Amino acid sequence: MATDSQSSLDTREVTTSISQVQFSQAEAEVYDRQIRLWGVEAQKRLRSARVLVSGVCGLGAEIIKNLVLAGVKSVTILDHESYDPESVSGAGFLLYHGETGENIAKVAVTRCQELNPMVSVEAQQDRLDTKSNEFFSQFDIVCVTNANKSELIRVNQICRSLNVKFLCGDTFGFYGFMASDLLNHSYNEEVLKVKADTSLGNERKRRKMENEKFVEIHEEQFTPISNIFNHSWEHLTNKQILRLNYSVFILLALIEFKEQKNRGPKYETLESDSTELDEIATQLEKKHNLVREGKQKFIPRGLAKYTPMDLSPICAILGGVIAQEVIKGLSGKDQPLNNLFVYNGIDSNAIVEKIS
Amino acid sequence: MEYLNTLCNGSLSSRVLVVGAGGIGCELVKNLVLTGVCNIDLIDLDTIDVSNLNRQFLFQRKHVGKSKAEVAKQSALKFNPRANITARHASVFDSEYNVDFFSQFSLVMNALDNRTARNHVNRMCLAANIPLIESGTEGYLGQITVIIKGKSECYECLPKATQKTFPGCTIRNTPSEPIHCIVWAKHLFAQLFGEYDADQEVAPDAHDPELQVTDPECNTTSANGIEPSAPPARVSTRDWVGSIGYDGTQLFNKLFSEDIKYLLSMDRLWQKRRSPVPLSWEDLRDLPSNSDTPQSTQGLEEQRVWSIKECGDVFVTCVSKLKQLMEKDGDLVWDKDDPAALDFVTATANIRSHIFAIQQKSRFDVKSMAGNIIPAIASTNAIVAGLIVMEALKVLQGETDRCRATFLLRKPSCKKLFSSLSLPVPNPNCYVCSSQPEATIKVNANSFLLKTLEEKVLKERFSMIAPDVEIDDGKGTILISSEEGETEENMAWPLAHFNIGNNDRLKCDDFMQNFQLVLIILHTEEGDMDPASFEVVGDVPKPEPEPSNNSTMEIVTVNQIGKQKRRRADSEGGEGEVCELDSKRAKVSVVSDGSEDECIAY
Repeated sequence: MATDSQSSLDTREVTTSISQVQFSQAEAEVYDRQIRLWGVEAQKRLRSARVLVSGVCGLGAEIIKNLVLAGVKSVTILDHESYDPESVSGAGFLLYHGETGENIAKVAVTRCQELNPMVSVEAQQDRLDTKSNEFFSQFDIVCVTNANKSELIRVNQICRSLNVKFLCGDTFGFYGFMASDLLNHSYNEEVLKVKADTSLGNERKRRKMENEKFVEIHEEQFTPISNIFNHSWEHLTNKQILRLNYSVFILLALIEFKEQKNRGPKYETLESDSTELDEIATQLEKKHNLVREGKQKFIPRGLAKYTPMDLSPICAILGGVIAQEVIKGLSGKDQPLNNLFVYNGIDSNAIVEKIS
Repeated sequence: MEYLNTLCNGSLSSRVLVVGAGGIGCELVKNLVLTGVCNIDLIDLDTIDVSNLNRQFLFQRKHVGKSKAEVAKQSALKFNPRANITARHASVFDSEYNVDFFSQFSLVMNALDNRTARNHVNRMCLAANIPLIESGTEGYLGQITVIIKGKSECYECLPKATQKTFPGCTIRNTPSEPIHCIVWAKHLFAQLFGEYDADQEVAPDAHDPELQVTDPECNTTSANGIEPSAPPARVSTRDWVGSIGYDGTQLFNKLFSEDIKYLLSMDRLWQKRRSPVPLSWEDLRDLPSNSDTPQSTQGLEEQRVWSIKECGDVFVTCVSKLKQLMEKDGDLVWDKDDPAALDFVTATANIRSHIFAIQQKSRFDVKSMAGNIIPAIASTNAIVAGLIVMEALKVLQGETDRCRATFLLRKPSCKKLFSSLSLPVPNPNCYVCSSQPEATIKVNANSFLLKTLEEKVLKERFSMIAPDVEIDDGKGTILISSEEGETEENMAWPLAHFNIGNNDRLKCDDFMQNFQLVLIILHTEEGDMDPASFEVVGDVPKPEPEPSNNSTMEIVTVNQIGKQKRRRADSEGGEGEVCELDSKRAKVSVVSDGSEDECIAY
């Protein structure tokens, strides 16, 4: 038993080879239910992974919580905003130790340490757009929330040049998305195949069919995030257009809105924001030639009223999906989503699109 | 939040009930209070365990051993002090939680991990006519549905696959898989240290049907002259082991050498099987101390397979440890989290596996199999709890027509990561939610005891708590009364004693659940039906065949309903639901439960 090995953990962390990573008894106990799901190997990879999460919004907080619980090596939290307990957002559960005016990333660290003392959590109080290339090179995965489109594209380009995997996401009330660029991602996957039971070599009357697990190794190619946001659907046939889901374009419209205004729609300015969002929808329809064959519109209008709040369940859904993709990206286990996921909480749509 | 409340027509101030403060429950309470649904009653019987901490994020190491409901409430208050949470460290089966109790809420949300409690809450909500959101997760999979009386399928509308069980003679005589030996080891634990249960016999079974085939001459006498049908006069295992003072080596020799030799004497069993090889304590010396099973050096210490020599030592040590524990605490109940209990089962199962040339398993694997552990992760619970609140918002606004049943898929299917369907309509023949519930069981009325009817049929199979039963003969003859002692003398009689025969109808009533079921008896004398066995006609659960690969959805079948006396209302994990793909309807249905603490089949 490795009962007393906890004290020697730090020295062991130095080892670079995954197979050398050892778990303490404490880790084995806490991570038991997930090791039984994704295996020791995946847990070891998580155990040595360094993650950056930018944005302590409702979505960011959910991602941070899930990754800290999963047992990565370190989480760096980046946010320059200060904490305001009066605006209880979806991130409230990660911030309650804070004092008004304190840096929000710093506030989150305290709670994270409670969630899982075995993960090292650090705050960075700068603005994302002031961070240099060098900063991003210390991470295995960079995960950005609550940023506008051009910032996402900029950080993704830096990460690409550094060979660092990148995910991003955002929520707007009842709507949310995730986009990912895991570069050239190699992963393994357990596949069940039927085999004839030959155990013990005795001649049973009916040979039992049994599933046997095989591990297959695959590769998944990702495209830069800019290709997702700048993609054109203009030349699709009418039939291909029918196969597109409008929820994808609701999110593209919201992303465009945030790009233009550096924020999502707000309650205080709901009326004008609503008009602007609908205008953006019209532009998107034109740009991509989405309205065909005498139809009036492709993107529903008047949706801004569902957007001006940080809705905890939507953050939880997106945060769960994104954390799971980060875990896939780090562990190399199971096929990741490639490359856009959108969730529409009004119509219960959960769409995965591969855009390239 | 104010804006959202306006958007939801002020419905966020409704009072809701959350049953279970485990994996889903913690996430759900967080989502509710952050969404502004702040009037919450939270029930959970359980206390916090260290293995909860990887996902039940309202708990910390310092909370281990404390009430889940209470700690969850305290944690949630920290991030929304305005929340009005009533924490109930109690079982949802308690009589205090009657139909009136349920009627106070606008909505009930289950965050449970076992089918028995789900059945019960389903009935309570149907009786109180309160919408219920049912949910579950297992590993990466999860599901959510909304149950509205008369409008959508209730939790019991579709038959659920039952726990895989193994014939007694496979366990006692002819194991061929690791699980058979693990079940046997758990039975042995109960025989030696627990409450006696006739269903958990471990001694060789001389009444194995295989011994009684075709030629009656062969039944009695085997080639070497021993008569298997008349085993040596045996005192009960418990009495015998007591008489030798729980001597580990003597017990070892009895179980793994003498009993195996006795099994070998039933040579008919071994004509087409590899024969077991008896192993005595003395034989252990000649075995290598290293395990002969190839070891992965990558895993946890727990994942190492012990050598048989080690197993022998662990066996003897555990017998003495557990004996002491029993003398101190009385009868033991097997618990996967008790190291000595798990060590005992690991060692015992592996020794038996070795004897029968079955693959041996690590302590880690035995814990999964014997403890029926459902893997659980934070992210799936987070997603499911988020989806529950999305449905809750619709229900609270009275927009139940917009409610959806949602299934988390392992991989996208038709570009969808969650499959979302309109709520399925109720099954008109459902034995719970139809207007006049009926079910038919096939039994041998001459031998089927009233006690079995109460315990196995009404309580276990139909999840009643305290049934009253009368014959639907116009006279209202009472067979079973839920009042203690009133009908005790009836219990030992078979149905025929009360003139119950083919096509007779029994009115079964559970007062607490406000649930009435007419049970129709189909009498049969056919075949080799065990006197205690019964079959529910027309409602036979058929586990779906597994798809050939796991690419879109995995089929997972786990767990069984706990024994009546150990019924637990509340979740240990809150997760641990099982999903099964109904390939024809392209949907997943709640199939089984995942109570981690309950035993595997017998």
